[in-house]
Amino acid sequence: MSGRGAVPGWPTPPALRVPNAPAPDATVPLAPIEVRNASRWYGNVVAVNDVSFSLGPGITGLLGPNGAGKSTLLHLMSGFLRPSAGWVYVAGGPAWQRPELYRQVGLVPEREAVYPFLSGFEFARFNARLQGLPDPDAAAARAIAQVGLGDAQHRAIGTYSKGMRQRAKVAGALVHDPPVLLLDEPFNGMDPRQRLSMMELLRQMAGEGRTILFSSHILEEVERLAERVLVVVAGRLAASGDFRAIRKLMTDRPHEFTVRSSDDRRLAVALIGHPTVFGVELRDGRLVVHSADLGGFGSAVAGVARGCRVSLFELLPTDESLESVFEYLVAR
Amino acid sequence: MIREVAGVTIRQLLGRRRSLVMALLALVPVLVALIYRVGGSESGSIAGDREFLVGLFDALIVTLLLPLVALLFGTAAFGAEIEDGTVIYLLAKPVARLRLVLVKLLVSAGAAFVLVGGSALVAGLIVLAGVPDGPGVLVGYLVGLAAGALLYAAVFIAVSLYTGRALIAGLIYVLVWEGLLANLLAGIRFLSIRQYVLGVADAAGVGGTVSKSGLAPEVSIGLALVVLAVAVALGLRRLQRFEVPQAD
Repeated sequence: MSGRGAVPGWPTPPALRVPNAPAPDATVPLAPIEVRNASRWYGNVVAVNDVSFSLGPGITGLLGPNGAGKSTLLHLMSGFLRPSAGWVYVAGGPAWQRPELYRQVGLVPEREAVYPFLSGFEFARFNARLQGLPDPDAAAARAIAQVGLGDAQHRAIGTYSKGMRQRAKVAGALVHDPPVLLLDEPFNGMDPRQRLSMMELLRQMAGEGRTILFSSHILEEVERLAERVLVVVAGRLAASGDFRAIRKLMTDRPHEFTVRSSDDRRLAVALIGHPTVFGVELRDGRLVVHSADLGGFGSAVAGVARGCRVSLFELLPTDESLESVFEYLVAR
Repeated sequence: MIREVAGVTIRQLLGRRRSLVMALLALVPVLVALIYRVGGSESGSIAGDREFLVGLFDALIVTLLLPLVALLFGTAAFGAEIEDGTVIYLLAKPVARLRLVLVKLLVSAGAAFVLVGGSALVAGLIVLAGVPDGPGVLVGYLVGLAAGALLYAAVFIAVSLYTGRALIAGLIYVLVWEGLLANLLAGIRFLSIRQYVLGVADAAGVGGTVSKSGLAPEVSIGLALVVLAVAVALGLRRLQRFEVPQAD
């Protein structure tokens, strides 16, 4: 997998920046998902900007804050958006304007709506029939069992909970046993138990050699499931590769904490001597500590305070939002 | 495949509250016919009955009921699914887009014809009881209505694939273009589905001219076929290039 380095800041008009990538060479076998210099813009707004990667079998997480362009990327890969520039090849051919693509791709869209008047089983069978499967009833029954909807399969989807609807959507996408699965925020609305069993199902499907890409804005979901990760920020690929490497980048980044204690100055003096801390400052009457070692600092701070007889009242990370993590990754 | 798509489409069209409104609309011509039969001043004279029927069909059924019902069904055929996002489940399938367009067209036109044609049939039978060429007139109108349902549905399906405001665009077309301008400017009749419907009714009417169409039957049929082909082609083109609305 390869990703392009990112440049911080909003891009200049894309038509000037994004070259058309050369068409994939027909003699070279393509990966199941092949994205080359793909961009997509709406008027002057760039949703996806010059993104390149290729994905093979296994589970990949598409991570990014809301509005980063995850859905746009998935729509490009599922043939529901035309790339403004570049190429998007899925299952051996262009994704755009190729209905045959869907024999090999299962798609779970983000939007919640599913035909409310159909039962879960009928919805799976609807998908099986449109796929032209020889035995739609058997395929639907198998998919329903795979997502664990057996008890509710004959109830109208309109009566389902959010998590059940999500599983019905997954059943519809699995029914033709596709080698490529694209899932847009598949864990939305699922309770922890459903989340676990869905993760288990996806792992099992990846183990059978499928290429699975799912999007999420929740770091922990991606961490628990994905072997590889694509981080998208403001339409650009900010990082890609092995999840552990990216996680390390994220945890090793500078962290900032605000501390309230019985004597901020004395604590500051003690903390600056500790190896996990590389800076302290008194800002607006509060002690602000900079550390590059999240775990080390967390476990050391109480001992340092005790050592200088300062009572610790409050310890707050100031920049732990996912957005700040992404900003850091983009800026690197 | 066809059965599944048709089934889902029918349930979407009929599951809506608007179908109740349409059923009530369809009752209006029947009620008017009943009132005429029970207490109409000219009731009983054959020429009067025929005249009244042509008036009822032209003014109420062809001008208002047919286009409005076809508008509601046609724009909802894909429009409802595009609006709530379920169209993805239809399009993320290895199915020729032309088949999808044709199934949606036949279902929405069929639903419109069942409602409008049924209303016209009942109203016609009430008014025409005893008129010698009554059945011929009725057959002419029913064929015209079937052609009209197909034409209006095809046009409104195409419009709904191009704009989210198809209902408003369709209403303006029906009320302003066909209802108002076509009466004022004679040239517009060549671009009015309503005139094609009346022309086809004339062509199909057993026993001569039945309506007050401004177009010759053969011209109507020719133009109707052109409009149908263009509407299907435009709808198909758009569906082949369908893009999800911008989400993030």
